[in-house]
Amino acid sequence: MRLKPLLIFSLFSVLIFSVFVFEADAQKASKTKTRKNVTSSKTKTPVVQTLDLEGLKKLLQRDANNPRPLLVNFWATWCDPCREEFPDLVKIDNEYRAKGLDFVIISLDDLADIKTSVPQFLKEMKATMPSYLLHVEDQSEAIAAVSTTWGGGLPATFLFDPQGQIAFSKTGIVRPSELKDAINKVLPTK
Amino acid sequence: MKKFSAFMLALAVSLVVLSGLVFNRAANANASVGSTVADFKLSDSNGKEQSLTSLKGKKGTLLVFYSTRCPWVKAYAERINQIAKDYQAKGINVVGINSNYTETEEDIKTNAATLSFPMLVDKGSKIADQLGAGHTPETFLLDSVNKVVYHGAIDNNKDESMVTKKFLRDAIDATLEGRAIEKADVPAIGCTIKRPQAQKQ
Repeated sequence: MRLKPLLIFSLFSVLIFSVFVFEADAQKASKTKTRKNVTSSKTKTPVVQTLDLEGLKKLLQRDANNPRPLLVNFWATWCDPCREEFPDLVKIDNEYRAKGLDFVIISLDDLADIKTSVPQFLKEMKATMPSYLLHVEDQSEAIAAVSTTWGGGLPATFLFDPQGQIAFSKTGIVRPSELKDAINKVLPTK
Repeated sequence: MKKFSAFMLALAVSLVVLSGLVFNRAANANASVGSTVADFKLSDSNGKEQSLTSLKGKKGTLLVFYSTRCPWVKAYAERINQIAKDYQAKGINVVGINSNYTETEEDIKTNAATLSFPMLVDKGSKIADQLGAGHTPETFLLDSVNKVVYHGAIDNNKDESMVTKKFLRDAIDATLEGRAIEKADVPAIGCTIKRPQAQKQ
């Protein structure tokens, strides 16, 4: 009879201990899983899609039902000033996407680079904005579709307001402060 | 009342002078189609002083803003070279201008040795500023009196096998034959000219 309370106490202790162990394992598993996800997103190579003339025109059209300003940067891996300004552009994307800015980047690299040097550079830069590679028959028509004042030099950055009008443009390295000022003016008011 | 009239007159004169200065600056800043390029002097890749007058062709001159590093220029190098060869005997001289402060004179000289046209070294990007050139390769076709008759692209694709429109050759042919140029200003992709003043900003 004296064994019964001892047995109950032992069983209860084992149960409590099991719960603690299970909980600890679960937490550990959860943490590992989360870390794995973060690592996965960090090491994921960005996908770069080809963009033809019609695709470019469509991309530049703003959606009347969901009016958001659009920032477009034309660049290339071989373009030193493009590479130089890229970290600032990634920061701007991180800062403004949640505030209502759409941002796409369009590479002028060769089609052969679409699965190699272009995504590799974007991965190094931790760039997550939608990425395209311009592949058109007539490059002058593509330039004209973007802006009548763009001569075609790289890098080139264009900010379209929610109505699709150019609110800001810059050929050459863009200063983050002037770009931010322009973005703040066209962001949707809350 | 007299004082007020005098003030208004002074203000009007100041505005006229100021607007004249602004207009003049804009006119000089860009050699758009129809404008005339003033003579200029630059050293060539061998260090010899040249001028537009000394290099111009009898029937016209093609100025090509060039780079030794730009992949877009490299893709077009053979096409530009061929244009120089094809049209020199017809009276059109091709003149390259390198306005990139990031490129050394040695690099420019080595590169120029592979070309069939002279290369000028535009220190300080002054001629690029004078003509309003923004990138490489960018062309300005001048007629026999240095009037810009065509500006911009060589053709419509960096990949020569995909070219369907030869804007520059069409413009040169039209100039030689005295015809109107169908498309006189065509934008083209290229590398931004590396200006020293841009670096200072």
